[in-house]
Amino acid sequence: MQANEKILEKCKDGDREAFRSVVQCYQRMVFSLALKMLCDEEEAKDAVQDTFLKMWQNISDYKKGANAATWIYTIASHVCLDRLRRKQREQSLPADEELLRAYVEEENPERRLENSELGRVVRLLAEGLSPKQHLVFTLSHLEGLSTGEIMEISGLDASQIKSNLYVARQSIRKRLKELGYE
Amino acid sequence: MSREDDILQRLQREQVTITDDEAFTDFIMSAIPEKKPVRKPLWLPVARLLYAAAVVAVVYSLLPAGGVQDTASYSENRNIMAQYGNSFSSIDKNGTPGEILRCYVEQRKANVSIIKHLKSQTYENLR
Repeated sequence: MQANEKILEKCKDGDREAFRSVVQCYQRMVFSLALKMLCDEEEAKDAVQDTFLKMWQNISDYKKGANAATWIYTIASHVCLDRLRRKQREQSLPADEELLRAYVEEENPERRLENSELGRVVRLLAEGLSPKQHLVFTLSHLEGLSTGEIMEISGLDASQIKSNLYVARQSIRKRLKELGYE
Repeated sequence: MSREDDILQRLQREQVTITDDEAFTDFIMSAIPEKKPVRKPLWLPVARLLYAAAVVAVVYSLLPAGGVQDTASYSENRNIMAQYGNSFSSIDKNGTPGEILRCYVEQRKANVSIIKHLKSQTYENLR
């Protein structure tokens, strides 16, 4: 899924078509992070647009040989954190609890959540987490990134990541306990 | 595996859906300006560093050599404080950055001297 160096160099020269191919390559990855961070499909789409705009404006900061995905994740994380800090945190609804119950008890492993459902389940689990805890939890548990990658993306050190994850897991455990899951 | 781990692993396997990838790309590209992004010149960080160093040098040159000297008497220092305190507001509004800084440094010098004086008075009294 890596955009190659040549394409990124073309982007630095202002080639919009080359940039379009970079967008095609990473839009799903960025949308996935934004949806799990903001828990709202429309806002996530706007955040994806913001991310790529920032990427275009700062394309000269991209260092040759650096991991493009990590760099884009870093920009996306900042965009999502900014939006998360600005917006009024939405409370989960009883309907979200019903949705989680149905999801947990689902017998058909093929059943996939729709975007809005995924957003609601994450919102329910991540309720009460600080924006930074939410980011670390999303990158680690929902996006499956390594601690090294999270360090690079978030700018936190390993112990800060560990403590943020610990708090996030405790909070989610408590949440599930409240819902009757041990 | 705990129920919690199970739920988190399932959530990690969930894939987001984009119904029309092409339309989504168009939506993103609609925000990208036609104008080519400005390449940041390589000398910019060096220039910033030099500017910061120059500012530090100017501030340093304005500070009294050898630190704050306690040469003036207590009452003299009180007068200096009053004098600079009174003129501070007008200098603050009309003065150049250099004047404001000089005023601040004089006030600070006098202030430190007063504190030193009061401290020595307290020690005297305690004795």
